[in-house]
Amino acid sequence: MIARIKKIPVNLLTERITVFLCVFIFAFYTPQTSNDVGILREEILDKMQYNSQQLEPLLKYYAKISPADAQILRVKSLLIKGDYEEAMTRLLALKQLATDDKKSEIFFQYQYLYAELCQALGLTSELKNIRIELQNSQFSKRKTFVDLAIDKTSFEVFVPSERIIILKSAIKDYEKAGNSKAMIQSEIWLSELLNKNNAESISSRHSAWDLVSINKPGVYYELLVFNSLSKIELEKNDPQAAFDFLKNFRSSASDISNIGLKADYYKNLAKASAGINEFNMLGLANEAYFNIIQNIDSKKSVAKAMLVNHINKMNDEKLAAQQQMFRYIYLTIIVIFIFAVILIYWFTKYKSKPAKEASASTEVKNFVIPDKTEKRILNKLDEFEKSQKYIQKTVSLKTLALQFDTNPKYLSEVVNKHKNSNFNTYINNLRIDYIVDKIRQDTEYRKYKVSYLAEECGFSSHSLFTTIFKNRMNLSPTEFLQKLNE
Amino acid sequence: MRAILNIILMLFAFTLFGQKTEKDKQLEEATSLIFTNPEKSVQISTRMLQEAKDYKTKIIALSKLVNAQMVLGDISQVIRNCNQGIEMAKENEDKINQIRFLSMLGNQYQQINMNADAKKNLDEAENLINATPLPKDLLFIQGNVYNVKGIVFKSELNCEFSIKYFDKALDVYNRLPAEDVTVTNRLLIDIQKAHCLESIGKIQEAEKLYNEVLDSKDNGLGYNKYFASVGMVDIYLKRKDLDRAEQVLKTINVKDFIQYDSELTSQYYRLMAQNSYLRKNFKSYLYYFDKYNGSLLQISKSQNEMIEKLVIDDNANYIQKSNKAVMMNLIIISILIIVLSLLVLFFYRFSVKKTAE
Repeated sequence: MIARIKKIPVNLLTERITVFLCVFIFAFYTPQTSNDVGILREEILDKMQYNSQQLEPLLKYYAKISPADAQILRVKSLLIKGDYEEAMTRLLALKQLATDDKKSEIFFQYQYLYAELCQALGLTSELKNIRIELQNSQFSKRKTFVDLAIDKTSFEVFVPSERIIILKSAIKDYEKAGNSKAMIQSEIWLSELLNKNNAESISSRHSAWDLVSINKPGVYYELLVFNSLSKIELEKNDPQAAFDFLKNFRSSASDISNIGLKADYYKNLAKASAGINEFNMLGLANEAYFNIIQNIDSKKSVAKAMLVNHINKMNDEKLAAQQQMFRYIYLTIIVIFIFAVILIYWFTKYKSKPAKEASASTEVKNFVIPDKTEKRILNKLDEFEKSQKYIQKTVSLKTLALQFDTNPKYLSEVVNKHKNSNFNTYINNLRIDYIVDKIRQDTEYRKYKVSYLAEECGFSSHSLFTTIFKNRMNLSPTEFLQKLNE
Repeated sequence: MRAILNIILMLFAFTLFGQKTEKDKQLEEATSLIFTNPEKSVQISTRMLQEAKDYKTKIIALSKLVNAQMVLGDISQVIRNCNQGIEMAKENEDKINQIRFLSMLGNQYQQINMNADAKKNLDEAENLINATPLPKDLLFIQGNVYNVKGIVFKSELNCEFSIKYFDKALDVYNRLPAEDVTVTNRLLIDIQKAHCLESIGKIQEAEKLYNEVLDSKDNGLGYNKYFASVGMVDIYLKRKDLDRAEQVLKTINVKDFIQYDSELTSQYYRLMAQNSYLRKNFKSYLYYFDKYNGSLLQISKSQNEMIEKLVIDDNANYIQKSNKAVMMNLIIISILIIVLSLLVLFFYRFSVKKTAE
């Protein structure tokens, strides 16, 4: 061999090694084509009916390729096995995977399996709710159903008419794919769904029987077909024929994982044995049946309790989520409020500042009074003071500006600038000075009441007069009069 | 089995109301109606609960309400009210009523096979009993807690633990005065214990207990005595003692319990089928085998209905809570929006005014 290798030229050897390495690396990294995965999946679906030992390593291996799908298949296998408690636990784990996207196919599968569990445990109200959700789902039920419809309970999630349509479609698909095992199951389910005397039902049973006879698919499939046939015979009151169908599976039936089929088999075997007085077989079937029923019953009880707790927990979670949503709404409202306050503060403080400054400068610009006008107003004001017209109650900035034939703003500005006070203070001070002068000069005024004095100098309010008088003279009118009288 | 528990609960009710609040005639009326007219009892105790101002009357009315609802099979209400009772008793540091309600809650959970929840409450009751020794006249509560715990273990097929608790319960009952109701309860526990002994292979001890129950002159057991009969038949059939089995089977009148107890009915049909099989009477076997399957369906149906009702009630409760929360939050949000809008408006005007000055 080495001698032969030595004879190959170095270049050719390198080339061959490179090609070999490439092929090896390609094969190493892509060991599972979609076809391989499909075969693996089919194998799992097959083994879950009758071989728990072989199923486990297959599921473990498949979990590495497709964890979510492996979990779906595991739940399915547990439901078939009647291990409802474990199925419930695994289903919750699947939900964790599925709830990220409620429109995903995994979520649909989760709901489908959850519906199946509810169906098995007799929770019809919960089932109704899920059924509605499943009906509204965007996924093709037929496609999914074909995939998972490997045990009888899968059908019960759907209404009978729908079950028949889905099954017929599944049979066609299996036929095309050449999947005889799945075909056997589907034909049996279809025959059981249809009326036993219906031609289609009889034909389905015969198809299944033929498939079993030709393909020899194994004990589970044979048992499935013969158990179904035995039921027909028992209904026809022919226990011997039923017994003939069932007797050969006495020992192998105990290894089957499908708990429903197993219980049904032993029940039919017991009935058939009793019908033909087969004492030993009856004892065996009777005991096996009672044990299975007791086992299913206790598992169902535990799972029911778990399911109720789960529903309660889900309700609590929904309430918590609702509360959380409202918390977010509160938070959003408060944030909007704070934002609005900040915005207003910022707007009024910074945005309006330049505007204010601009308006102030405009005002300054507006009050640049021509010297001539200013002089004229000042002269008029002197005349006004001398004429003592300020004691008239009608005097105001507007009326006076009108009299002076000028703008009130000009007048106000001139008063501010030259009299060192605003217009009102200027008029009030003139009035107080006038009355003080009068009181000092004319003793008669000292006898007058304060209200009269206020009236005399042009104040319409006695209290306003007192306040302004006190501001101007640092004494109230009364005190001032008393002081003068002393 | 449910009837067994009802009898135990009756003891609960009577002793509870023996706590001398007899001044209130309504309380007495509600008590006397628990088994004869539970709907009326619920009405009275609900009204009393709403009207009562003091804790003592409230807790008594609540326990009456729970007892009447238990008889009616209103599971979710029982669970809710038991939890309310536990909370009330905790707030008022009333250990005895806390133990009572925990025990009733555990009992309710056990009846619907929610064993984990049952055990949680019964454990809590047991811990309280250990920490707070009960007065002699209330020892029956302790007995009830042990008994229900025994039943829980029994339904989990943990018969060794179950027997331990039945023994503890019997020990407590033996310390109580031998009144009719105490004797009845002792016999009921004997039946349960015998069943457990049988399943762990202590057939002779089980037989002895069944015989004691069947020989007793107690009338309080009612059709529950048949549980001992079917137990005896089971033992005889296992021994292939067909004559004695047949003898006992003849004493069982299925009409006495067929309407009330599907579990006992299924056990009876199963034994009849077994008896027919051992006698090679195949026609009879097929008849009872079908009857047994029918009763199994009945059990499953009634269990499903019970669970279904619980789920429906829980869902209704959730919807009610959810709607209430939504309404409440919408009102708060509306008020919040109005108040905050006003504040924003006020702040805006204030800011504008300040700027103008």
